[in-house]
Amino acid sequence: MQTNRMKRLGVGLAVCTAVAVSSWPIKASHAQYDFHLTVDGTTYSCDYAGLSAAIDAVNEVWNGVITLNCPGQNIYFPANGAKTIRGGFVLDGLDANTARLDGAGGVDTRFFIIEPNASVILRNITLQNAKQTGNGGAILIKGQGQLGLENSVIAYCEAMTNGDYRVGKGGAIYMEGEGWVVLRSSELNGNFAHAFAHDAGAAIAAPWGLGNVVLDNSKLFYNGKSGHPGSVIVAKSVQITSSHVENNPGYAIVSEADIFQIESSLFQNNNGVSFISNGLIINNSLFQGNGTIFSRDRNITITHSEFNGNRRMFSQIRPWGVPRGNVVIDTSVFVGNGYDDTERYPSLAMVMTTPKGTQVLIFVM
Amino acid sequence: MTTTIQNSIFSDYVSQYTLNVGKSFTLTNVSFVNNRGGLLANGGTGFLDNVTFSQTGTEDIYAGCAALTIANSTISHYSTRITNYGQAPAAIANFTDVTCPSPGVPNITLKNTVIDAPRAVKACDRIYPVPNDIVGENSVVTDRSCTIYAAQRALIMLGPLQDNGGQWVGAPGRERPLLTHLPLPGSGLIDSGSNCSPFDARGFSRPAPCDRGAVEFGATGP
Repeated sequence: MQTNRMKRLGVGLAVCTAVAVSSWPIKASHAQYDFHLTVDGTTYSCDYAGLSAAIDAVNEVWNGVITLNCPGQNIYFPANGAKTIRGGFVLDGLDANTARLDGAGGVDTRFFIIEPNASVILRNITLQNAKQTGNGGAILIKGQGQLGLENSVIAYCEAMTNGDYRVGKGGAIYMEGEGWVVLRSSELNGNFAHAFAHDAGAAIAAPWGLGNVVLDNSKLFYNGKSGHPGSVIVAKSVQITSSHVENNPGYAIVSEADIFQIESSLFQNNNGVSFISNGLIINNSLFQGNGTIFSRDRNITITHSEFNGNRRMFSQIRPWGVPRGNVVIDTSVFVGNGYDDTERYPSLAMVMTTPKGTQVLIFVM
Repeated sequence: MTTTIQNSIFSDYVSQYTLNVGKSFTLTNVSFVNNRGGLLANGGTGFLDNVTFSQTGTEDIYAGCAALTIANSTISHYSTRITNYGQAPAAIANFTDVTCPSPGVPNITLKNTVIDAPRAVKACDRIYPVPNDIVGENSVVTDRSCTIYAAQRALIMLGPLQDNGGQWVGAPGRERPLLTHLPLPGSGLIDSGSNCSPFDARGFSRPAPCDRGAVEFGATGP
């Protein structure tokens, strides 16, 4: 009993910390369950049926913590076996290296559907190898649903197209509405969205511009595929702190964000275009070896940052009309960015607030 | 819409131009170092203050019908490479003709600015110039191509490009100095300016009479 009370306090403190740091309004948990095979004295098996039953029990009471104490024993999800989260709970695998939910590469093996206003924290756990026809390879978030990842990994999950190139967004996570995704000390690795669109979101997609993404001390790498237009993140607001976005074959970031804030983070060796709208890039960010960093129409502020070896830099190009948005750069370093002499439009190395085509006029003389 | 850049470095660009600015921009305390090409300004209005251009391969500034004020700046141009549009080497390439918004009105004003270039390089290459397209106030260049006062290079006496003090810039842990050319002792730039910015590119105060160029000889840090 004492142990359970301490655990409850621990959970409560963790949730309070999350709210204080990120203003992420994930709901507090009050009850304690031990999935290991017991929840309120009930023993569950370390398999899909056991996990499913435990989640159903937690959903009924809305709050809780499930401790997945099944080290080294993957929980394989069957086709169409996604669990719908209607309440809020914490699923703690104790160690992401040994606690795994696994789609085994099977079709329609998404893990979770988070209902509007529901919330779940996945802690110390790996979700891998899920494929889902539609949006959200591993997790689909509806409405204002909330997902937290703490010391967790989502790897090698895919959102599959159904033949419509607009479908298959959010390789790992897809938000349909004004939801939240918060990663703390977590990784999204090797995920892919099959939708053939710049806002596909190989890792995370909220393509209607409503969802919110927070990355804190987290890593996004090897999401997307070379030559595919899908981005890595699409969201209304993107806040990245002390995180690494590296080696993503998809575009580094695509955001129609009202808020785009990066602090103390490393962007390195990503390909393609980054759309940054109303972007605020501040303090200590290093952009290195990326593809184009591209802004449409909005404001950008950069301080104390270094941009090094990026293929193309900022742009405020609007193809049809007058460009908008202001650019402020302070106390920053720009080294060797842009195209070289072999490129067709070398003057596009760093373009600001310039209508498309202006630079071409120079070279027809 | 404006572009405002201050206390920053642009270096080692291999593209034809390093920075293509928009219709309204301000550059303050900025150094362009070792780039193939420098600043591209097409139309609009720009103000450069305490800006250093050094080791640029082609032109440092291309102005196409742009109204530019280049104040308290230093352009050290030693490259003899032709400009990006195939003309003779030059520090500033100014395109003006009757198609510009205000033909006949000076579109480039040099204030307390120095352009240091060898004999083989023109300070200004004026493409389809209209009369008086470039005017100078307390500025000094090394030939008459800008149609303003030309001084002997021996009087300019710029020191090497180096860290001459001031704030380091960039991401924490990777900061680097804002490289500048300080006038050497005895330089004609010293105390020859007028109505300079109150601080030089390093943030050091400029006592009167101030120096021409981006940094003040003998000044100390804030």
